Amino acid sequence: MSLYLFQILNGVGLGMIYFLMGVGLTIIFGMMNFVNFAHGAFYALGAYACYVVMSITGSFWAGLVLAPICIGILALGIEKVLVRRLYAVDHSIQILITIGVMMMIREGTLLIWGTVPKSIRVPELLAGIVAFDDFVYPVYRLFIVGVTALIGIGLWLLLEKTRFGMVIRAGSERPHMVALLGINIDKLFSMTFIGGVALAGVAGALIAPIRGVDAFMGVEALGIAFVVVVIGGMGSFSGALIGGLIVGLVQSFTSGFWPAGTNVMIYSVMALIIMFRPNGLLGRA
Amino acid sequence: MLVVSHINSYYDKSHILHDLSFCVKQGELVTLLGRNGAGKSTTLHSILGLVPRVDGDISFNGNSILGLHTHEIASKGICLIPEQRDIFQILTVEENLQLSVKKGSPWEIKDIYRLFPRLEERKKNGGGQLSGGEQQMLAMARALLNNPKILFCDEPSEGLAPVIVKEIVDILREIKKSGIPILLVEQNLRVCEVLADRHYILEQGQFVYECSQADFFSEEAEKMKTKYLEV
Repeated sequence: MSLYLFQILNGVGLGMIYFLMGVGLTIIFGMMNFVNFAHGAFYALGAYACYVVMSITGSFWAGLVLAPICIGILALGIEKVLVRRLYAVDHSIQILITIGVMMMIREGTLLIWGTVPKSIRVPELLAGIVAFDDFVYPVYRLFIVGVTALIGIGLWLLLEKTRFGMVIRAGSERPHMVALLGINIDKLFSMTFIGGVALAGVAGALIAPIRGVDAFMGVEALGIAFVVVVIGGMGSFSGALIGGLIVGLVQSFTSGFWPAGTNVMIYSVMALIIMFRPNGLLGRA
Repeated sequence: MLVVSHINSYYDKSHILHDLSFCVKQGELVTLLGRNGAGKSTTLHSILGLVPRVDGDISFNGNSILGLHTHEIASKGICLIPEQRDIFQILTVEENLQLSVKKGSPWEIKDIYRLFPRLEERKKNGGGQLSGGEQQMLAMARALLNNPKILFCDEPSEGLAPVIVKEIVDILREIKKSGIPILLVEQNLRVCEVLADRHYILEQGQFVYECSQADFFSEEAEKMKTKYLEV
């Protein structure tokens, strides 16, 4: 019994990290019709940014807060110089160019930090374990579930309860009509891109103490983020949440009895779901 | 007020509008008539900055607006009620309205509910659940809240039952009475006749005829209608 609980908690924690990855990707796609293959690279950079801030200040908390801000500033620059010219072009061109960005970031991190993975120590406060009877669980993993849930609720409130969120939702459906109401859609696009990419940065920083930091974590996360988006449905916030949790739980349970087969299982589940729902669980046609 | 002079519009390599010039004056309701594909919607879209390449000049209240972004043009008060209505389906009716509210508009949401009681009944419903007529009303309501200085109305009666069309016509008449000029694209000639001050007929991206409402039943106008509008 406690083994199952352990795996469920692990799955939920991972799933919430995947949700943070997927939600940025899916909203950027839904709104700007932009396919961002560099999304995973920003996740890796988030982990590196957390590592750098932590080695300078000695504080994990500073890393966790500053990493997404750094990634957001970087995203602002990249959006201004490059990405905004790509909204109107064909997907294949977007993919080629963002793969180029991804490779530049990956090679850059390799040049600066080398091939040896970096590790980040879990802060004192969260380093312990919680125990109920014979069940023990690391506090940091519970912390991940809590923080990601808070971010998720915050995002939901932002999207559903504010005027800004209303504009984002409207823009993800009919960007032209939003512009026809006199709303500056370009500004909205760049804010969405920056926000989505910064969330990938948060995800990278959060996972860093568990998984370690290396240049290849981005590629691995990119694949998973796309699975999350495909399962949940392109452009859907709740879809990203459900997709993230499904992938996290499948991965966690599979690793219990067949560690090598986690990816196979994840992609099989995805294939199964799109056989019955080609637009994803909550996707629009 | 709105002056379009010698515009040529292109989608990629196809040349859609050829040297089009016309104007809409304060308080006027002007129609653009023509068969499907004549370039009526493209004319509206060219003015709104939705067509990739437009040459010539377009000015609104004395300022050139050609080359501005769509949202800048819309902010000047040129409001489109699109042919497909383009309701935000994942937003509720009320959210569709709230999104469109702009300061200074003569219409507020409570006025909208007076004009369109049906929208108030359905305010909690999703935009995707509305009937065609309700969608048309919501699209009109959105434009009114958006502080319009001129309204572009693209085939408002398309696909609607006669009783709804009558309702739409009454609303358009009330808008016109408030002094806001309207540029109307419409296939239903009855609707045009009861509302318009002037008419333009388009064929293959060029004007072939222009007349006032008074001349709309002259012998020449009837000939033109037969030649360019009858299917």
